[in-house]
Amino acid sequence: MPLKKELLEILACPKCKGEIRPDESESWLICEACRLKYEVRDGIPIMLIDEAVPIDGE
Amino acid sequence: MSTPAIPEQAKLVIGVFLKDRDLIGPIAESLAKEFGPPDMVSRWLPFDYTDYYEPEFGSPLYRRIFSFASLVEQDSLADVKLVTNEIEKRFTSGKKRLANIDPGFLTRERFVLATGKNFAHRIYLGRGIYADLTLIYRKKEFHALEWTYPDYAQGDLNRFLLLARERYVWGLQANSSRP
Repeated sequence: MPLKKELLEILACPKCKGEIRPDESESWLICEACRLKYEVRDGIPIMLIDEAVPIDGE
Repeated sequence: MSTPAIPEQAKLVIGVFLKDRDLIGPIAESLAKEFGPPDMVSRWLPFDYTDYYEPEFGSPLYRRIFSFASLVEQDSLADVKLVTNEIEKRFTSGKKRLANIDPGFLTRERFVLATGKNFAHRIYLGRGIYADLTLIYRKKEFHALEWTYPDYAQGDLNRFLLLARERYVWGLQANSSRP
């Protein structure tokens, strides 16, 4: 289920409180500043820092 | 005759507005220390629907909304408000608050704010705290009531609550499907 774009506009990274953006697949929300990505499961963003995945680890 | 039953736990959603945005970090840390990690944080939202708070806080004012991963018992709303009142007291300049912290409970059916002010539509919970029924969920939307603050009635805050509700229901369903 895709994440509604208008809802993305109101979210921030829980770690740095900065901007986030969806990746191309809309399966992850990316914080460039923290170099972290947060998974979107069933259209629900999982914005828990503990569950974030480092972007650079790929 | 109905049979009393303990309801599902609620999702804690807390709005913070202030003038000095640098304070949001330590306030967020204080909130996380009391209530656990947030699972969603909003971007900076303007707080400009009223000038009621300008004498105390100045202007312009900014708001962030936090929802929290750990669910809470619905009868703990007064406790939560008393805790956030104490956090507010830590962020003062003289007698003036530097931040306003508004906790609320979100369930499948509604969003309820906690307040220390009496009003006709508010239900007394104890220890000087009232519950303000702010929004009712119906037909996939949160609907305002006659007394709902306009910033909760529509716009970014309302949309954040909708997303928080999706997160909340998704979490309840995920937990119920676990063996």
